[in-house]
Amino acid sequence: MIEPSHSGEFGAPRGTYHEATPAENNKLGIWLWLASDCALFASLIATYLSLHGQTLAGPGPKQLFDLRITVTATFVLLCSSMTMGMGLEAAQRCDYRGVLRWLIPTAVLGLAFVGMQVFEFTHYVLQGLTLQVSDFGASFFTLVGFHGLHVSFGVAWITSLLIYVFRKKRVDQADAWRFEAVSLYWYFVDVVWVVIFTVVYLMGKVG
Amino acid sequence: MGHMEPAHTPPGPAPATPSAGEASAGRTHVTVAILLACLTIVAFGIVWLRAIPTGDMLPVLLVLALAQIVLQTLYYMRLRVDNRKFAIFFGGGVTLAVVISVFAHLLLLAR
Amino acid sequence: MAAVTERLVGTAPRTRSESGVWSWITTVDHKRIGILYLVTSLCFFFIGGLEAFLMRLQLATPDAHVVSEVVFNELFTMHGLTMIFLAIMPMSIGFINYMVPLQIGARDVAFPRLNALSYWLFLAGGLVLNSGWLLGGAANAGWYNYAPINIGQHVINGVSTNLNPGPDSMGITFYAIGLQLAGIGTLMSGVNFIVTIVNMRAPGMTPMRLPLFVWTTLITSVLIIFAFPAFTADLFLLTLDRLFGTGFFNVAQGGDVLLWQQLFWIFGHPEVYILIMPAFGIISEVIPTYSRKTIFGYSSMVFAIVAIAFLAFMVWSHHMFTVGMGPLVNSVFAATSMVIAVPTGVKIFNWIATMIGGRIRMTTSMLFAVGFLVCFVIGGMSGVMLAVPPADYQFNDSYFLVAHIHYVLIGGALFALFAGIYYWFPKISGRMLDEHLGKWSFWLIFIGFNVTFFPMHFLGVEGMPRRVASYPANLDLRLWNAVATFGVFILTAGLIVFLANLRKSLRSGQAAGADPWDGRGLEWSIPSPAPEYNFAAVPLVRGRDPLWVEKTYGDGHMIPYVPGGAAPEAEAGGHGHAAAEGHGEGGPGGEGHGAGHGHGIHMPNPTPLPFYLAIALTVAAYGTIFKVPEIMVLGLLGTFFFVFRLIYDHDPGHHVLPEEDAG
Repeated sequence: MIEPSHSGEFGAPRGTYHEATPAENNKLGIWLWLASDCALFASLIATYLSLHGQTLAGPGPKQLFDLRITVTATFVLLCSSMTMGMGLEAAQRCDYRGVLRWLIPTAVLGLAFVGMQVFEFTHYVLQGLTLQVSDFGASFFTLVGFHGLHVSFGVAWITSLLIYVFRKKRVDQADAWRFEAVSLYWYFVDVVWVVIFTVVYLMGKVG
Repeated sequence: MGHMEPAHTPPGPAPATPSAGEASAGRTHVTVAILLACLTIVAFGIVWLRAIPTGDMLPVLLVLALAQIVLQTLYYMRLRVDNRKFAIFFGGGVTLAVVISVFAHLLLLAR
Repeated sequence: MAAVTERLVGTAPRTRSESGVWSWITTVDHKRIGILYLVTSLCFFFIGGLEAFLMRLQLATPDAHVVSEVVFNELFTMHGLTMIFLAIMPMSIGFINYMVPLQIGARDVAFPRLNALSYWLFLAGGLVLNSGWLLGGAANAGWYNYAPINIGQHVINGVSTNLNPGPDSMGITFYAIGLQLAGIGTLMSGVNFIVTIVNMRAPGMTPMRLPLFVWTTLITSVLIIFAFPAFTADLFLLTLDRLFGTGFFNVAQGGDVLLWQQLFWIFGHPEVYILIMPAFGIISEVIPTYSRKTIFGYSSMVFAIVAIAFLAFMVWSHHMFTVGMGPLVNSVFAATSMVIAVPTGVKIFNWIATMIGGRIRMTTSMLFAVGFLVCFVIGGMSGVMLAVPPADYQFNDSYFLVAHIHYVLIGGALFALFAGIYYWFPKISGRMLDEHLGKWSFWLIFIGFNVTFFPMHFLGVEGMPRRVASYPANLDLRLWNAVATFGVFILTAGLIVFLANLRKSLRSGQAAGADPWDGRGLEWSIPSPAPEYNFAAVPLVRGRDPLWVEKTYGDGHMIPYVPGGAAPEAEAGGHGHAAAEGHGEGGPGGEGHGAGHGHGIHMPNPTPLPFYLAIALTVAAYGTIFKVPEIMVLGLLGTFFFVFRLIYDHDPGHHVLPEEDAG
């Protein structure tokens, strides 16, 4: 892009012209998608906050939530973010073995998080909290489940990337943006989890 | 609009051995991860132990969450060093979304 | 000044090698996708028009029985949805697709395949929504589909009554799923346009030199990516309510009927600006061209666009004045709503000031632009009246509101789109539209529109509620209803003349040449229709209205950009610009700077993957609507398969050798 060194008046461009590469376009596109996704989560969180008091005949957050499960899940996701960072570093120096060493654990940790969520949801359903019983149940499962779907998609994405590099048996500089894209998505899912952990679980326990 | 700096710029063929810069980048990841873990433990701890009065808990928890978000977006998602366009679109959009959602929530509660 | 004589050389011969259906299905060319959008939206426009026509026939006389009440409910709902989501918005997106890359000097949008996917999802959404007519009833709860009617409940005398979940509640499932599909497509378009405009402008195309149509596109896209998620969430909750028995909007389960309204209007108000913003952009292109003047107050225009977009997010509750949010909330939203009139007024005055002292040519396009100014100001003023909460208690849900929305959406958005059609049709088709027929169509549409909708102000003030299938003869509403229906016939005649004009032009229209209007922007510097690669050489932009700058200071042709600073007056060229690395699912461009290097311009290859992906998602959509989990899962698996195919499919692209004459 040309530096905006002058306004719209007549004149030749100053500064350097840098044509955006596809990789740069992809990265900006990912950021815009994430920003948009943020607005989606904001809507669901507002829905949850507006309806979570409606426990009706079903159990409420205070009696239901077991923070020990949730905080463990949080640490699992936190670790996966760190390994993702290491994997990205490896990808940027085209370190094929490093990518495998760090991204396989990331996917496994993500899967573990999803597994814990499935366990947690089953536990709640057995205690009488369902989608239909109250709007606390409906909004809780919708919000947290939607995040869980995001994590699952992230795991699928990382796995597909691993398959991709595994078939090539190497990592090229040209693939760096692929790792950046998936890492941005993964961190974003983690950021959303921080909000959900605080707003849904911690505050739900405080009441 | 600013000049687009490619974010990943070790130009030329990839160096075979990790250099000092990469080691420090790896250290940043670990440091941030430790900070995030500490913040999570603190947030969990004050709720678990009821360490502070319930009335003060919400703002404290929100501040702790905000600190984690800032750490993650600035260091993990590299908004601190990356192209400012990303920060403008993402930061602006998120702020807008949060403000509108909070307002809508208040309107729904107000009745 | 421009030499108009030799312009006709620029007409490209119609020798596109591929022209079969398959080439349209697999295309990733922003121009062809733009044409697909334009044609599809025009078809939906006539479907929506037919629905309106039937409604006006029903309302022409008191106690009429042209259609039943049930069908009438479906008609007004589908009319609104079709016009808003399937006609006006995609028509804008069609022009954006075709024109924005040309106006910024790019060879395609940033993500050509995503662009194709956006189109196919829009089409799928439109078809799913309309398939309700055949598969158990179309949506019937109004375009804003309020709770709890949207979950099949009516509250009568304080008692909530479940309607039998038969055909009439099926339509709203089509609403929820169909709009979700179309919405995903629109969201992708928004991302695509922002990246295109931010990253892919030609050298010298600084932000404050962007054509105003590009500015409005950028801001519209920002509105899309931040407003649509609220609707996505809302539709998601509605789908859960209707198919999985949750109770988000069901008071008996602790739900909140206002939750739907809040989320809907958080999206819905920005949405009306998504409809009108590109129209503002088109008017800002048309008026300077036919006034032979640069736009008056460019910076204030940009500021007004940004201000309107920001305020658009701050006013949503003015659609809900009468739900009882209290005087404080109503006052705040009334104030923010009225503030929007200020930047809008700035734009109106700038357009008028552009015309003052200009050498005005009253072409059909310019007539529509001036018609826009008149009608949009009327619609804007009734808008300010509606923004006064006490008055709104009177106007709300009456024909006054119907008059207002049609003055801003027909008199505003649609007139501007017609101006755009007459203005850009020569660029898109290579042929001129007939001016004589064009003027006939304008006057018939303009008069018909005003005769139809102006009386609705009176009907509203006399208390006629909107969305009623009939009215008794003794209410004194007969005259203006008859006049309104009479106007529809004039309007229809105008549209038929317009269609005849299109047909005539496509068959035997006069060749347009590159620059039939003595234009100002980059799109007029290349042949009509634009070649696949758009620009044989990347143009160097030396000012606002780049082509006009060259007509004034240069030889009337764009100067090709030469990396390294060989271009005249370019003070510092590129520091040996880095070649595109990593093609990925890349856009075009790459080594295309100097076209004369022998290997041509790199363009993306056509691919059917976006089409397949849209089909898979449509299968999943029908599986959801008819509650067949196997089909839904199958569709979703197919969707993810094609998503990952698209991510990892390496597109080697192909090279095109530009023809010598760049127009």
